[in-house]
Amino acid sequence: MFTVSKKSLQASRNAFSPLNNSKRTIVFTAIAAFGDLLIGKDVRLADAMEKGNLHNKNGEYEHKMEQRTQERLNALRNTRPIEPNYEGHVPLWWYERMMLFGISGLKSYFHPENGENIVQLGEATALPCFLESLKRTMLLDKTGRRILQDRPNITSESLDMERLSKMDKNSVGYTYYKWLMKEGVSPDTRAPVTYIDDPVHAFIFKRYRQCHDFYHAINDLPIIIEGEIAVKAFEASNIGVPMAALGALLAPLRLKKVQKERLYSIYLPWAVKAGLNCKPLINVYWEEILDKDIDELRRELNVTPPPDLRKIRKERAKQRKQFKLKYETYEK
Amino acid sequence: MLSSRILSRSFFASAVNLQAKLTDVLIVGGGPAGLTLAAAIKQSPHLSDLSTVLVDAGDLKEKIGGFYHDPPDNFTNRVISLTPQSKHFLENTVGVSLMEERIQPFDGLYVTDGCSNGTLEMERDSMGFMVEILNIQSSLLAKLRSSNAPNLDLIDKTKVQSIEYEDPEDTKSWPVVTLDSGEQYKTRLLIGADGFNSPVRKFSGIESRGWFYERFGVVATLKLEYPPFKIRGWQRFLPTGPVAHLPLPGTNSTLVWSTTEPLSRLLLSLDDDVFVALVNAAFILEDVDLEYYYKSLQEGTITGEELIQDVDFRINEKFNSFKDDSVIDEKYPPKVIDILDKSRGRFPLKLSHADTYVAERIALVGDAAHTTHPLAGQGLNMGQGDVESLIKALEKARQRGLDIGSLLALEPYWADRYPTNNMLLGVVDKLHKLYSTDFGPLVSLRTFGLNLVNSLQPLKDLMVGKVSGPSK
Amino acid sequence: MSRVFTRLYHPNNLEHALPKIIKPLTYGTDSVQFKVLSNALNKHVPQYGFNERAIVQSLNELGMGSSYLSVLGSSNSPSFFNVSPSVLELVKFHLVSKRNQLITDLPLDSDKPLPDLKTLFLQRLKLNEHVAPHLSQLLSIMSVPGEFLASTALSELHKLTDDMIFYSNEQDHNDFAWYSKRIALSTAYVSSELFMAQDKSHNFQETMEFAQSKLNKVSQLGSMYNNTEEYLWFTLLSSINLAKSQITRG
Repeated sequence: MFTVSKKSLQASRNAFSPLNNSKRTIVFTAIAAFGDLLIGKDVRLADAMEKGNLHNKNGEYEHKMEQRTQERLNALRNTRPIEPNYEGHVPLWWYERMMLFGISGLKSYFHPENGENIVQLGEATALPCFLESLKRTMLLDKTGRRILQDRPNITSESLDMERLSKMDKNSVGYTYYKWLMKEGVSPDTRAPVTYIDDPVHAFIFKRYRQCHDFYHAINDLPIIIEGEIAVKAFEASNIGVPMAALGALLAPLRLKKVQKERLYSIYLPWAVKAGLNCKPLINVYWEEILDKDIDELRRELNVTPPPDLRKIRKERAKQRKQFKLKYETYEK
Repeated sequence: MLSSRILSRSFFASAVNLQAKLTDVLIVGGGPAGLTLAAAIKQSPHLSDLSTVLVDAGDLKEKIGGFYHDPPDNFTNRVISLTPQSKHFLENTVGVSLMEERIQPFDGLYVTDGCSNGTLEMERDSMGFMVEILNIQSSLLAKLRSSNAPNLDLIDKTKVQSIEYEDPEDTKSWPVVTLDSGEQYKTRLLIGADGFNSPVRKFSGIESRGWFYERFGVVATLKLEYPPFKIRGWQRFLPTGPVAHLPLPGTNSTLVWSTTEPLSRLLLSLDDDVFVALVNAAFILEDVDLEYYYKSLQEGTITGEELIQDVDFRINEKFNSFKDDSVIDEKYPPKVIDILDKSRGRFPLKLSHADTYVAERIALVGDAAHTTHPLAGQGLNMGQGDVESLIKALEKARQRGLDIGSLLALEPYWADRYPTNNMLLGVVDKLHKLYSTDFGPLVSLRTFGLNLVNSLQPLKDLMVGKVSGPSK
Repeated sequence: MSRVFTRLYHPNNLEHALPKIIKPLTYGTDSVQFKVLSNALNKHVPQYGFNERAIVQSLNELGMGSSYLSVLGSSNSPSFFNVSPSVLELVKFHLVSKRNQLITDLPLDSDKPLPDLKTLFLQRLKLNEHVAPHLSQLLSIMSVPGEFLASTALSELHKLTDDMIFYSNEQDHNDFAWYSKRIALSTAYVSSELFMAQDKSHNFQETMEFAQSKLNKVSQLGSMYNNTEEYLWFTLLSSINLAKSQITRG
């Protein structure tokens, strides 16, 4: 113990000895010199020389500084990652896209009746690989190529509802018109595409959305949730857009038992089989085949419509009402 | 009895001897390799006194020789790229003066992947020269004629009828070549420069290994819209095979499109303007577009005008999607507007490599020893390298007083050239195999690799140096 | 003199142009069993399926009692799920007769070219058309593990692929590829038959397309194998030659 304290005394004395003094000076000097290297005056002069601000005597320097601050302000204002590629394009950062997927996914699950949620989820899940393979399908077909060249837009004016109502009863146009009237919708209710970056992909997605009603019409499926799920499954197996697949898989989980049974036993198997056997629907130039016979079109596309959903629901409602009346009278 | 047998035997042998003319070197084949070898032998101080005979089945003196003095205005469709080493060898060592106005030096190579946007850009001044094969052959003939070398016999329009050993049981005896004109030559050294189906190689019993690629190379001479901004060679690796567009003087260029057999037949059967549209499409549009065009042309569901209109529309769409127009000149070759009449042709592509290049009194050079895919433009250059190496081996042998036909004299040539040729053949073959598929993961991998190589300048310099020789 | 004592009541094998017995079957083409089974297969199986009812119908039609049922195919051991021996014999008959039908009309002796492998393959599938509704039953009878599977079903399958390859214009090399080729083709055939069992398209169009794509895969496999073998051989020899060339340097 005695030796330890002696050693420590020795050590503390050594701390203040001249050798240590010079060591500390060296360390501090070194730190000062290194710091000067990083942030000293020489460095500032060298930076200014590199930027070309050192030796010019004219007012360029102020002008350049002003330009630089303006650029920085613009960058802050203009917060999008890239320039918009088409009318109504809103480019998103990758984290914004992920948030869009998450939030719209949850919203669509709990409120699928609100169209905006579905639209946003559709655009968030439309990854470039799926749209690229869809573009490939279109480019390999003559009609698909023409659609890509002409870029047609389906609105109520372009289709001319008056003309459709006067068409032959068995034609595609009249079937479509009849369905629109029965369900009470119009072809204008399709939202524009905003979050997809490539303009060709955006057009393909817009076309897919606009033709959605045609798929309803040729299969005579209503716009109630069951009908929508059936059409979504049909689209998923034929066109392959991930939103359709998501909708077809997750949406039935929120339905009533009876509806689920109907879907799983009749409509989903029909949708998958019909979708797989059908020719690619994205290549159909709907505007041109409006006067075609509906059965001929169905034969060409190799698609057979499923049992009428509204009729089945009506039947079941009637049966239940009958049972209810029966038991009510019985109970009385 | 014994003496009479000996007498009769020697009488018979001398009958053959009396007919056959003696010569030191007999070159079978008057292609670029054979002619270069003849010229080099006559130019070399140590070998110029060797009596040389060159035999070819085609019309060398008038048709090919006439090309030098009276060249046609248009360019022929068999054009190759000559590396600076080969050109240096031809011009300096062999002393040939090629027809300069028909040669186009190019300053770079732009290689792209047809299934993705992988790019490799290599730039160097005069990294290669586009020369017509006829240019090389006729210049060599002119040199041979003008040098007036003694002991040189050029026999053209004659086929080799048979080759046999003077003494059938002794493979070290001199080979006797019988031509279909009846002449016989007994030669100290027999050189096979006679192409893929070399009769000399068959005679020597040397096996050649390889396979047919089941691809055909379609060649054509094209006319461009305007002279190119940067004179470079363009190559795009489509899944069916690479398509290459190489510059010629003025607004001409040559096309080499390696593709499958049915497609090559289709390409040859098209009208000129449809073919031109497809060539433009091959460099600019995507693989799916080309697939569509092939399918609809084969099924007959599209007319020529529709195809041209579609190609134009798609190309304009692609060009309009670029914000900066100067990128177009940088990434794509200049637009082809026309094709020279009847200049389309096709030839089958194959890989082959002989087991050995030399045997007693026999040596193989050029296509007789090896053939390769034209995607790297190395076939003729390998032949020139072979000739250079063979000349060196023969000179060394001569200086040491060896029999130039002996295996001891010839083996250094084989030892020198076999590794280089093997490596080049292997690399070209693997490139072909790598780029013949459109399997997704493999495409991503090779695109990544190509872009990586593109960003490493030292590696690119090394590659260019290996292929085109050291930079000046 | 010795000719007088030859037995004239046994037919001489050399006197018949057409073979009277089709090999795996133990009865000749003019025997009772053959008549009963072929009648059952052609007339009654399409209606009743591969079961005893079809055979009994056929027996009754030909005027024989249904007790003859126990004689037909009595050598087959009943399989796992007690499929009756006579039904097994019917299945065996179906397989053998269809295979035979495939190769009877081929120009074997003349110089005419033999048909494509694809043609024979699709033809054999077409021959299944008249029993198509009962194909799944047939396949399930054949695939039950037991003596029938091993001795008859599998051996018939191999004989079928062997015949298809032998009697077509395919190049046959006596090497390892012999087995791989036949196994690949057997796999293609079984999967095509399975597809046909549930195919409801017009004229079995989809089955033919499916079979085509399977055949393409088989030939692709073959060429991949050939190319790899070629490449490896080439690389090996090139390396040996490379070594040899460098040794000469001394």
